[in-house]
Amino acid sequence: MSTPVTSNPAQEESTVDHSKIKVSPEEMEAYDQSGRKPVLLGFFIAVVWLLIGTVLGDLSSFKFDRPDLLTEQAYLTFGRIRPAHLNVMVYGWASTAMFSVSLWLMPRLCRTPLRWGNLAVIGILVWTVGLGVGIALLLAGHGDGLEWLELDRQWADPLLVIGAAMVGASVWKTLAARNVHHLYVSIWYVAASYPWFLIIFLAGNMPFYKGVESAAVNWFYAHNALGLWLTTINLGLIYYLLPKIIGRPIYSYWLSLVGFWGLALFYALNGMHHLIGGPLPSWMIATSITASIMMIVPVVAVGINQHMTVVGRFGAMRYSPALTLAVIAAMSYTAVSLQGILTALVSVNRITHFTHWTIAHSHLGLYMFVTLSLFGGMYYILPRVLKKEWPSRRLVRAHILLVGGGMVLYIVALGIGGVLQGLSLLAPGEGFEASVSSAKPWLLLRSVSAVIISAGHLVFAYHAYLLAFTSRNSLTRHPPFYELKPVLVKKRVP
Amino acid sequence: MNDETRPIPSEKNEVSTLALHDQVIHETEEPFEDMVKGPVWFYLFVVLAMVVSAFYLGRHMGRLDTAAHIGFLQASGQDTTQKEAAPANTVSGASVFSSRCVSCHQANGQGIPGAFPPLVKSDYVLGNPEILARIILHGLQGELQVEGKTYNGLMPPWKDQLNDEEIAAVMNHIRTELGDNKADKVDGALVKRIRNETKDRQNSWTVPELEALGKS
Repeated sequence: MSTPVTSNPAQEESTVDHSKIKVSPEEMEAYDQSGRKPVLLGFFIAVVWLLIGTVLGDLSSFKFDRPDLLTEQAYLTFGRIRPAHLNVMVYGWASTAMFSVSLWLMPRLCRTPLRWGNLAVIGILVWTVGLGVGIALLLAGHGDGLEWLELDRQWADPLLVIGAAMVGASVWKTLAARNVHHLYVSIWYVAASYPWFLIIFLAGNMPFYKGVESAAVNWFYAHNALGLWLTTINLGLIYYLLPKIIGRPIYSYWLSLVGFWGLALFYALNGMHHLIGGPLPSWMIATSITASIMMIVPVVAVGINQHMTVVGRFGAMRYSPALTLAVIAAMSYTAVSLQGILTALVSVNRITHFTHWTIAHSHLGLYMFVTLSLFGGMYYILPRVLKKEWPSRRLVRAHILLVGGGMVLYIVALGIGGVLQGLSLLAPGEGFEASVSSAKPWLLLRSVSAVIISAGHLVFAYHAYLLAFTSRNSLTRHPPFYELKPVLVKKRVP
Repeated sequence: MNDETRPIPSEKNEVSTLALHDQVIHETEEPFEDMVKGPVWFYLFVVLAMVVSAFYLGRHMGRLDTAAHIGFLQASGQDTTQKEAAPANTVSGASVFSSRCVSCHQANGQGIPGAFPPLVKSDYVLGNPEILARIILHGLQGELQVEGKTYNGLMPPWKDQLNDEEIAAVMNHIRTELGDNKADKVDGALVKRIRNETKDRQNSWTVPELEALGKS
């Protein structure tokens, strides 16, 4: 009989399971360096977009407190600044950073160097150019007028599709060249995200929808952009970081399976719950609410799985900013999903629909989950790709406290303000002005938290600059438990 | 749980444990998944979620047609009627007006040109109160001339949502408070009489019908 093609026993053994063989640091370093160019480029562009988006977000928030602020120019009005903030944060900051995360994760998980890395570099650049064109057109007054799909469908969207497809090609080529037999859960999430995103983005931007169809497709896209793109890659990242940093396996393979396929099955149907009370056929909305209720299954599965992986080792969070942020992000995923299920119920939605509650909810998802997870990823990935450690523990601590604390304040303030606004809108005897004035103090509190968060972003950007462009304190080898001293609590004086 | 397979057991002093592994810990072991089945309650919970969802879908899906999501509209309708039924004799015409009328006729009563007729200076508002009561009770449809402009819209009937006192209050409000409107006050008895006279009516009024009434 013929012998197997792979005769190298070590090679053969490594194909059986992802991590039965002890990895050597040199091997991992080779994988990291194979994707050095696209990973660093993506993170650099992402941080630049983060700062731009922060300014846009702050401006939008201040306009609630002072409606006459900066209204002389059309491009500075709320109707353009606010969608620009959303698009810069979603496609500029989160998506570009997620490209880098996927291009860093895939070689490690597939145990092979990154393939088609230069294509990924071009893809990231094309994506960035497309987004820049789209934002410029949006500020100039040319947008598609659908939430999350504002970018111009003639000039911006084709570039975004081509850019994402190029990065996706690199990811899938690396997956095809894998040296492992069993696919770790992070691979499912990361690899699946690219075709999913391209499908929903193309479907959402088709030019032939009219009226109610257009609204339905709009929310199909907007909800799935969160569920099948932003959520999936960040869950993949968290699934990697938690066990990797703690040094424990993921609790249960079966729960991973339930979490992944449950999300794929139910999330895609969820979008219509944004249109409760709208002129849609009742079966569309009822199906969507049902799917939203069923989302509790994958959410609880992922929640149990990640909690049981970390449980008993929460103390390690003090030593690793990446773990801290990954744990907060994982908890926020559970929280935002449960909140979303609650909000999808008709009785709750009557109060919260068209109020600031929705904004608080989306920031719980896009910030406490997605953004903090990406910050955590950058704390872990950048030192390994750059081969030096983050220079300052103080800056790490300041950053986490500012963005975490600021966002908690943001969500609580807007959540309360939104409910008050919703109750006021429902009261038949009260005029519309009453609903505005009831939310006003909470909007001011939101602006305060926006300033706190912005300070956190500046700290992070400065720290990333120190890490990347100066040689101060650069140490090539350091454990992930950063300096083995507590990062988040001050050292006790004996 | 199978803690024995986990590389670093949980301990309080992570620092000392980790210090021993200073060199190797830069790259910890690559993560993998345990084959634990997970807690039983989770699988029971999945079944429960499916049962609840199936009931919800069966209850609210409706027929597979293009009818709007009725459940939502009914829920809000019931609530507001219950709330407003209680203070019957002390209704404020302004509050009825702002909750029921402003969305079309606007807060200043000027309507929207071409879409919703104004109430200010309108003969239908300032003229015969019996006609006005009929319009509010049963709605109005078809072509209509106000202030020399033609409108062709549909005003919904309010006979099920508003009681006699509320209709009288809102009539007084629009007849005396909006713009320069000045006309006689009416009371609930008039509305009650009109409601009884027209209780068999199912359709909205049209302008020719109302004109015929005004002449007779």
